[in-house]
Amino acid sequence: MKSFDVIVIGGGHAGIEAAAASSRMGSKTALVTMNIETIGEMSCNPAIGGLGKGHLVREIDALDGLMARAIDSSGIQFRMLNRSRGPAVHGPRSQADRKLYKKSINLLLKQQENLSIIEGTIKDLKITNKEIKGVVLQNDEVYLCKSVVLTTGTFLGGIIHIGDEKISAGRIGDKSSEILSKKIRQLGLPIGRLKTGTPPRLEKSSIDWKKVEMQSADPVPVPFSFLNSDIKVKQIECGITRTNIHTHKIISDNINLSPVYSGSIEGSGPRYCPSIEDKVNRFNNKDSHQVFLEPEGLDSSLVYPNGISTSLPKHVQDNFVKTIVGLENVKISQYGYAIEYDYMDPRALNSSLEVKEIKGLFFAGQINGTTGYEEAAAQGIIAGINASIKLNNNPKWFLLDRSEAYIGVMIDDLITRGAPEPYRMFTSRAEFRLLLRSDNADQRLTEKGIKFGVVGNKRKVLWNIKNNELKHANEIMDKLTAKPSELKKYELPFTRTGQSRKPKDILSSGEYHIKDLFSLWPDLKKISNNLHSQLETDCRYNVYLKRQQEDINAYQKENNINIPLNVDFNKVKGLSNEARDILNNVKPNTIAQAAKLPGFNPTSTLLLLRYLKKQPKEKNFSEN
Amino acid sequence: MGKLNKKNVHEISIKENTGIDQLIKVIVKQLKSLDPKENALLTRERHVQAVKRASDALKRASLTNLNINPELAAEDLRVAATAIGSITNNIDVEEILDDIFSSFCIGK
Repeated sequence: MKSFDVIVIGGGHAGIEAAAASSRMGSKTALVTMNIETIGEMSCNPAIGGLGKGHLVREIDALDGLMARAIDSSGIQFRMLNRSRGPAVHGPRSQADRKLYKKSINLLLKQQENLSIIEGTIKDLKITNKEIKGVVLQNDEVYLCKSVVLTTGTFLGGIIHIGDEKISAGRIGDKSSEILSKKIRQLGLPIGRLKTGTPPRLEKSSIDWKKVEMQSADPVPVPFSFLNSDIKVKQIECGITRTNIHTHKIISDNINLSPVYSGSIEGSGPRYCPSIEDKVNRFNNKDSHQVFLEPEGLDSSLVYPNGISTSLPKHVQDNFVKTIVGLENVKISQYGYAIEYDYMDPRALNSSLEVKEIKGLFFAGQINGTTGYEEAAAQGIIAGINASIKLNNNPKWFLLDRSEAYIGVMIDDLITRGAPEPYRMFTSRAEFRLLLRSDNADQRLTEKGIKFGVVGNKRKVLWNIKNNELKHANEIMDKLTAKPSELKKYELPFTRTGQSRKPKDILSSGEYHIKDLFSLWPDLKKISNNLHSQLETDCRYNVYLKRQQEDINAYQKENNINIPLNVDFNKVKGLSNEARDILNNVKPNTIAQAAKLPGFNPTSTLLLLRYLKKQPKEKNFSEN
Repeated sequence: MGKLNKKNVHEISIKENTGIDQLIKVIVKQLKSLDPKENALLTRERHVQAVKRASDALKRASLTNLNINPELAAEDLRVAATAIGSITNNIDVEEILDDIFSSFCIGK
């Protein structure tokens, strides 16, 4: 009988990061997938990053995950989104060459010590006394283990819809896992249905490219990974076209043939990534929507039309696509579809991503109600680290809170609020977004990653060098100061009150670069060039970060006040029935979590706090 | 609707731009008469602090150069909203997202 420390089920973006992280932690890990060929597959959009998502990728990288490195060696159109809006909200994004992305991921996995990749279908989990003991394969073989990370994406009970056609599948061409789905339901976990969709894929050669506008990559692509300084992959252009009133008329005329509108899909879909039939229906004042024509690779014959995800019948897809400028003679190679799948309400999880009721069983990725490769990968890395930590007798979990990382924001949102619709990361979900930037993810997380043992040697060495350089640079800057007269002489801003200023004061306005200060302060030349942009960004937010620190302290204080598991919310005096219901339904772990619950007002928070403080000091429940 | 009081009928023309100044004056006067006689009292220290935080943040936001630092103005607006929220009720991020996506669809 084979035995492992950690078994990861699923070879998607969550499974990959979970398996790699657990292996880096030194645990003997197996990644079990139904099809080895599909490890690292991008099932939908061939792109990584974007607003909010780019932050997640940088954080995964800061913890030595694979996603950033894989996209850096397969990205064919790097663009920094939100470039005009300040570094805190910059969103790195790149289109990917699907084949290259898969290749890079597989190469990185192959180089990973402690990791076995096994092709097989899991039909059951072995659980005794509410603790995971192993998994059972299709051929009744049993693998023993101490932790399982379940990352089955859309494969549990997955049903694909195209018009009134229904196919049982986890992705077009790949069968879903029906038996495991049934078993999971038998565990008594809260299971719901969600849906998502994907657009048709187009034959590149059938598009009239002369008729569409072209958009190119950034002149100097910025890598995702802190380990890389440049991008070597060839950069390409993508096309932009638009739907029009003729497109919309065909869609409205046939809207009843869409499974969402005919009622055959029950699951709810995302607000922010609506199908084209949803867009036409919901924004009926707009007679045009943008469509990006994104090549699926350098030598791929396929194009992904970003913006027209649909589950209309095939003939309707053919008709409406051909009304779009540039697509008059287009050939569809794969029709768009909607997919409905089982997800587990993530409120059944602790912030370690372990199921509250079953020790050693972790869930990560789309199965937890999220959408997107980045969201999946980010959960994967946390679940992988904790699955490995679980092997210790007295596990000290790897947890990130809302003031440390977007990953922390996402997991906190998921476990306290659930996922009534597929959850996507947005910068607006973060309270401390001037601190949680994509440029400083390494400064926020790598040290912690090293402490927990998830960061490999190469990154450890590079990070220590960078960290020392940063400290040194800050020392240089802190020593320098100039009087108003000197500032005036070098045409730099000075105060009329006669105060001296430091480099950091000048840089805080965001209008100057370190180079602009060389003539006044030649010592600044000692700072290595590649740190300039980082230091400038740090200075720009410095004043705000000091102010934000108070908010962070307040949050952390609230987050450290645990609500005991056995507390009877009905005994809290003065609470409204609504507030009581919210508490009884969600059972928040900390005051900070309670305070953030929708409908739970500040007065209720104070009442709850007062009640907890009056309780006799007993051992508070804590998962920390 | 009851009978229209002649005194409260004001004839205006947007085309000719007549009567509008007068109308604005009347509206302002009417609103002023609704003003409570005393200023609302903030009775708790916590509330006073929160209002002060909000007011400081709003002042900073109004002074921010939106071309260079729009994200800093956004941060101050968030601080103000949170401060007011600590008295009334927090604005939930889902409400903000609802509002954004009811009129707009992100491309990427």
